[in-house]
Amino acid sequence: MKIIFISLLISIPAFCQLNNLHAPQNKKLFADYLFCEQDYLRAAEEYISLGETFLYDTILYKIAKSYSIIGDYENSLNYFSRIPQSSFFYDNSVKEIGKIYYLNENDASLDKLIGEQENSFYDLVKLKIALKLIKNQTGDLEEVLENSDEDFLVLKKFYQQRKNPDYKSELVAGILSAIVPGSGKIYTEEYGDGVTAFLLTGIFTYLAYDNFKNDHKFRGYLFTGIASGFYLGNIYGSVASAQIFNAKIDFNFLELLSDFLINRNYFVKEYDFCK
Amino acid sequence: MIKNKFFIQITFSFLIVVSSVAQTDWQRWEKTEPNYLTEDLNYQRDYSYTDNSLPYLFSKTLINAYWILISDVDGDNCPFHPSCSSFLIQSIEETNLIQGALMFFDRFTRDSNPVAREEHYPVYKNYRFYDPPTLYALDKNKIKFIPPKRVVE
Repeated sequence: MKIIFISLLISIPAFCQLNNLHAPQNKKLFADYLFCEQDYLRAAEEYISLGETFLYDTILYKIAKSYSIIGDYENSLNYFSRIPQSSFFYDNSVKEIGKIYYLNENDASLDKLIGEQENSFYDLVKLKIALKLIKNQTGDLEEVLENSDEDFLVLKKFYQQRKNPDYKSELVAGILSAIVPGSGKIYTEEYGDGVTAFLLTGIFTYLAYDNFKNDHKFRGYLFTGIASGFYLGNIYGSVASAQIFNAKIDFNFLELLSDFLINRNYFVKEYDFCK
Repeated sequence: MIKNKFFIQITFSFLIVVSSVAQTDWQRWEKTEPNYLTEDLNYQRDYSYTDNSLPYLFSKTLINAYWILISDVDGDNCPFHPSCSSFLIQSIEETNLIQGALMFFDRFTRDSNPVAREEHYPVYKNYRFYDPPTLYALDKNKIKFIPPKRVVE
């Protein structure tokens, strides 16, 4: 009995040692599982824990992609840039780096990246154009946009919108409101405010006129003050309204451009590692 | 075996005392005085003076008097955040007395227009339309457009 018991006691831990949970292949399997479960931070850490000898291009790409997804761009850039030029993932990793520069609005690094590539990466050029459009630097874009690619055609439309935006003139809005109270607001498409300004100025002007006419001087001056306030306030407000309208045009432009880039995934190809 | 005739009594007493002290579940069921007053974001008013300039002191005194004598009695009616009176004082702080007054008259025009407000303004967390004075200070760098209906925290 004693012999059986001791044999069991020795053989069980010895048998347990056979299945090494922390073997690299198990770690990689676990990291793959975490990656596919979208637990990107832990997936990246598991991949890194495999050690340098196991960090071949697919693993490097997955680590970089994981960091990119969770917004740790510094680490992501570090791992994307380690992918060798001979790798299948090299082209896409360059595009991923471009995407990170675009998201950080780092145009100097994006320019440098484009310059470093032997064959011209049109997808990086597209990102550069988008970045210039965001920063409203449309000066030298006309020549770059001469391309029949579908994305370039869309970007050209964005360029034309950026170059000739449907802004409203602050001066015109102010002058219109000075001539007819409220018309400046109507010009900036604030129709309700325009009509209200016209009515308020008109009513208080009439009250001032009527009180002066009936020799109620105090009330006449009071209503004159209020009517003047609404009149001048409306001229001021029309100028401010034109500025807000223009800010809205810029906001909508940037939203549309952002939607386009998100739809095109910043021109980066996505690989499905979880099939 | 410990031969003490009080052993069981002492052990049980100890266990009961320890478990009853450790047991804090009763706190959940004890009687409490409920506070039915919810946090009112509309009445976060600042009566203090933050500037020494004469126009500011004059307008702030007027606004404080308005809040105490009229607004508190009349009730909280302004559909905007900041309220029109707060907007006036913030506008004067942001710019100057004359520009602040013009901004106020313009705000009052917007306040008098009841049509389609929800299509024009974002919403502040107190369910008022968000309309800050920075939008109207004629400083393009300070204009941050927020689309209508978006909730501003």
